[in-house]
Amino acid sequence: MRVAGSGRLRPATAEPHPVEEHPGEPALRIDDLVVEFATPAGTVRAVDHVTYQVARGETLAVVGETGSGKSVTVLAALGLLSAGNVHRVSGRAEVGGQDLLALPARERRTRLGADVAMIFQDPMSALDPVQRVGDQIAEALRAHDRALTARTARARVLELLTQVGVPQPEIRYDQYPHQFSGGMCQRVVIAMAIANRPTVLIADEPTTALDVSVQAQILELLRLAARETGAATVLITHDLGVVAEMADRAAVMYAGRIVETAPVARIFGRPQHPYTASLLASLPRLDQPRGRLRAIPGQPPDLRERSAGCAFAPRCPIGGDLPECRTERPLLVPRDDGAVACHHAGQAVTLLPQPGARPSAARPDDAPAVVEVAGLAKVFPIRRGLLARTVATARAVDGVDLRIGQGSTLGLVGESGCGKSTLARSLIRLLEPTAGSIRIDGADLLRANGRQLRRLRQRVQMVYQDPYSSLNPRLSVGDNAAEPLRLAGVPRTERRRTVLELFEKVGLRPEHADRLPAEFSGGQRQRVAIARALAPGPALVIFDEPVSALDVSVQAQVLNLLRDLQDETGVAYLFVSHDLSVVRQMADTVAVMYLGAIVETGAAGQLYRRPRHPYTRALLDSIPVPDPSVRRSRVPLTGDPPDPTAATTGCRFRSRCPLGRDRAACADRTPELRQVDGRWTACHFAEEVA
Amino acid sequence: MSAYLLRRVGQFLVVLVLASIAVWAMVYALPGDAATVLAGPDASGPQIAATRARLGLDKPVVVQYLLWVKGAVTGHLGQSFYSADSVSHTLAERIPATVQLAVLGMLLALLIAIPIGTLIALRPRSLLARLSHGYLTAGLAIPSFWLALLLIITLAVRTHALPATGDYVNFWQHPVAALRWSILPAIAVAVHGSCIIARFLATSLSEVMQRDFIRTVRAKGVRESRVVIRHAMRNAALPTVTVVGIQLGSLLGGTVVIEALFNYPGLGRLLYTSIGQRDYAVVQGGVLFVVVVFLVLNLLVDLLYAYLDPRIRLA
Amino acid sequence: MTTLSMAAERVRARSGARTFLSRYARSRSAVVGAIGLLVIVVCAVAAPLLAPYGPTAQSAGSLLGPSGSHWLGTDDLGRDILSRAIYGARASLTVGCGSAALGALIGVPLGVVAGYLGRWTDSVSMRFVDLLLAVPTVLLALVITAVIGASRINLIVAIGVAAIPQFARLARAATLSIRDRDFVVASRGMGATTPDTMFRTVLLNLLGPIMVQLVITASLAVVVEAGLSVLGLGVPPPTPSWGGMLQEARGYLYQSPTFGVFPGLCLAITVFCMDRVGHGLRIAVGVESAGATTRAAI
Repeated sequence: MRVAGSGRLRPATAEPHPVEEHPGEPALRIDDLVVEFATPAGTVRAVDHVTYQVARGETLAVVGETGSGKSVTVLAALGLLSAGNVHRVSGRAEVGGQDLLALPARERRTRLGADVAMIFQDPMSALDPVQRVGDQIAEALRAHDRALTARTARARVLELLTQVGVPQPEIRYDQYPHQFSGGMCQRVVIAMAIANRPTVLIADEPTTALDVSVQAQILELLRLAARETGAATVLITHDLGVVAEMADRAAVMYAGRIVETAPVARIFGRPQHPYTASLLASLPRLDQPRGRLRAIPGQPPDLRERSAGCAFAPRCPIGGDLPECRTERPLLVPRDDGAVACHHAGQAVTLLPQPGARPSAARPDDAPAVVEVAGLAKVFPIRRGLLARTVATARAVDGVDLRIGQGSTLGLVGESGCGKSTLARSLIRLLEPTAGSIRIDGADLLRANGRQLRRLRQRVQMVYQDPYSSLNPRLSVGDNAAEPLRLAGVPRTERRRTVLELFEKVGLRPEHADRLPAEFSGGQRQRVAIARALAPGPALVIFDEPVSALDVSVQAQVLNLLRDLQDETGVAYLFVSHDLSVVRQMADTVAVMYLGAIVETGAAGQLYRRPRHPYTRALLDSIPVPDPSVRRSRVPLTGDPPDPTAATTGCRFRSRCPLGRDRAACADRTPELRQVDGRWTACHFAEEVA
Repeated sequence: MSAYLLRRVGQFLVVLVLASIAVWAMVYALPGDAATVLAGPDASGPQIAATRARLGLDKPVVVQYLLWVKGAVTGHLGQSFYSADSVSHTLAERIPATVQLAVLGMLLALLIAIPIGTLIALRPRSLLARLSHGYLTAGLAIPSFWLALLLIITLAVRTHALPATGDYVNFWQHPVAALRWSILPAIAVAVHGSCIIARFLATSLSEVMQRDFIRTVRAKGVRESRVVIRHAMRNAALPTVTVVGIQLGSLLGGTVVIEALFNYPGLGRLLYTSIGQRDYAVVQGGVLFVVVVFLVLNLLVDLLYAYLDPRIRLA
Repeated sequence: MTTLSMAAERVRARSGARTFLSRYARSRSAVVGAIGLLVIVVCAVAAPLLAPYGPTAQSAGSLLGPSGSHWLGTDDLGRDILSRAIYGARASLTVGCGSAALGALIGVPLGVVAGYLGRWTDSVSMRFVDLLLAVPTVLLALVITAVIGASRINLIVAIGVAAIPQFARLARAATLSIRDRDFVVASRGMGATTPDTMFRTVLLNLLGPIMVQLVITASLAVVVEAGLSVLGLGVPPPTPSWGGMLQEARGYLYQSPTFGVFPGLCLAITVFCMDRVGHGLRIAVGVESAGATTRAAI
């Protein structure tokens, strides 16, 4: 890349994903790594005899849920664990045949950033806030080349910034991280990582904090960077879609151990470990008919409680009750093109969803409306200067109409900043809309006051994204769930009775009602939040990203629970999410939002099958599908999700649209929602989207 | 930045005006008005009235205040009730002493605090860090005036190594004598200050060391010394600047008790004796000076902070 | 629904109070501090039972050294130093705790309202706080006691007023940090009134940091009270106080060193214990920052 690749990294024109052989010495070899932490509850083994290797040009995905040890493994291998309570790190971590763990710190440092580089999860916090971005990249170069002059370093950094697709590198060099978007920060981190052409590139959840469209860009960039440098890549992720899209091989981790490793095609096609198979079965997918998810029961393991047997046994549908699984820990043994650690490896395939699974029917859309929204707008003033004068406005929600029928689910999809949360919060008057009307059961919510408002508020309840912050930490979970009833003036004994009934319904033990939220896991807390929302017997519950903070296995439990509760009570849902697969799993009708407006809406099945708006289409294309056999070469959306303060004329999607960038009609007229192919689409050229 | 700057200066002006009103009004709340005090305990009614007129105390309240502000701005804070000197002159005599003591104390405090705070943050388990922890715990627990008494007992009374009282000698003219006469009070104020600064620095530095970007820097293969100095210290210095500023402000406000214990001729002792003598003109002027210095210092610290932090500078 | 009930199975069974205590006990020095503080409180409450002499009883000669009948000797007026020191705990603790409580009582609601409502409410209250903060604590207390005279209650008022800014700023910052957390938003979304949200949902979650600040402020107040006493502006004689004893000792540093050492030691131990208790509470309630006080006490 030094001389040859001075331009931007570009996808090769021929083969989208070259299949290579990876013979010879592995570039990275982690061997029998053990990491232990000392905690008040005793020693916790976060990484338990982990071994894997990656060859040059190869991509290994390490998959696992929270606490599986996937990140700790590499941090420990590179000597980057900074926690004060590291109790033990043993084993080997060889880069180019040399054990990093055996090297003195000074020598290990000379390898970091030069031979092995790392890309981190949260790009915004991965950069020093008070140093110029360019200087931070230059530091990576100068740390390993003392002779490098400031001038040469700057030139090299500008070259790198161009390569990773940061526009206007001369200006960007002297800016600070807070002036960059998340996606741009991640590009900078990638530039840093490839600066010295490392032989090993480790990416730790590189796209988790980013929007779908930006995720697609970054994944593409990572792939190009890996190919350009020829590095061995370790991709740590919880997202099976990303694995299928990016990796040659995958290693699945559970409770600090590798439970299965194999080429991706084998992992997805013929999983041998029940955990791998269960994960695949619990995933809502775009590429298969919608059906009930097969959730993994229980919670991700608590490393403080170690059993003699298989760590997955308590949740395993196969070995849950078998004595050998409970008492004897299975070893990782070679099997079928890979290796697996299970006493009953052959049976796992049966856990995969069968192609003939019954699709659940969408509910009819002709039920009477619970909520009707017309012309809703919310404008935020942007105040600046000494007197906080309004210098601009942000049209967070800009003329939205929608309707939710009794007992049905509307899915609202969009990227961050599109106004979906503002819309949701306006519906319970957490925000006062600037214009428009909201009718609940036919009554005008915005005109209501006093008693009537209190009554209407009982009819619409909300469940928030982060179960760790949506419950009052100083109230018991029972009291938390009873809050809406207390505010409605329901007497204490009656509140208590209702809450206990609800706990039963959402799968919590009534006898736990007096405990504080801190004692519960994320999934359990979200159940409490659901109980709280259902307590006053609402007609509509708004879910604002209800499962995005949960692990995949727990996410499926909650989604199934929500469907069951809807069947049981006939409550309507407004399901807000950035995750199109999850929305598809839940929604009867879907509305896609972009920059404050709904750009496409219609019945879920139809919309997903044949999107007519280029934005819907691009979003669907951006999502990595958990099936390595359908790897697509695709054109991801360029740019970042737009800033709602920017005034636009014409179509708001124009700047990022693959169709309308240069068309006069798109610049002149704002497209209205119109009926196309059985759904509503706001695009002048909807008929061209195939 | 400019909006932040303007807003911050605006706040400063508002508090300045409020403070001047409060300081001026304070005299009204004090027992006995200035005329009764000045005219003496045996003065007759007409005598007091004459004094009132001379002092302008018969004018409307607002006029009195504005006249006082006008005087304050031009450096005329009135006449001391007791000495023949003007208030401005009395203050001007004492201020250099307090400034010298405050600066000396602050330098000492920083000299102790920076290495200790850094050590505790970076090598929390080392023997030296444990000893430093002991120093912090003791330094925070021991009241500075008691430390002063202990210093007097051990160094002055027992060993006669240093004088038991402090005095002001201009440092630039006689540095050795200046140190000799002010080192004990300086130590007495520096120990507590150093502990507060060190503890704060240690906390923010170890917080910064846990942040994600430090890991990124390390992953680049950067030398550990550079990680600490260029990245961690730079970030931890930001909040610490504020604490140092507040400390310095308090020291400049006169360390009343320490100055009284050492008979040190600074502002603090002046205010203490003036309150005792009900010399309200001096009290008014002195407190006003202290408050203004504190506010200006705070303003400067905030501006410095804004300058050092690009997130504010470029906002 | 068997899968669902399994989810609830492994809830960690520990009560709130036990978690609190076990986390507090993680710091050995915090336990020492708590025991020490308990001893001091017992001394204050049961002084008549513990002290060998009355606080103002003049016995043998003045300025005696330590002996069997007077373990720590006598002061300039022939009073037993140990007994006076035991009684002296009363002044320190009442003024320390009283003024911290007063500061919290005014400062916390001020900070919560300012932080939660924002805008002009915030501006006005914070300028008021800035104003209080601009006058050094001792000077402020000095002026206030000069205005209203020195008595125990007046000392509490004077030092308590000076403590308002610490609480107001703490409460405001904490309120700002949780104002937009989901559970506060949820409370509003369920239709709770503003006072209900502020003083039930928000305030309930500030109790931890406030508790820590109470102890820290009390320790500062003890020092300020003693400082004022050293200046002769503390609890009026002959009521014993540690600061007052130091002031009396100043004149006799040559004759009787114990006179000036022991009361100061009592002060230092009290401040140490309070500081450690604050440290333990900070761990127990999970408050991160140690920078609770940034200001010199004297």
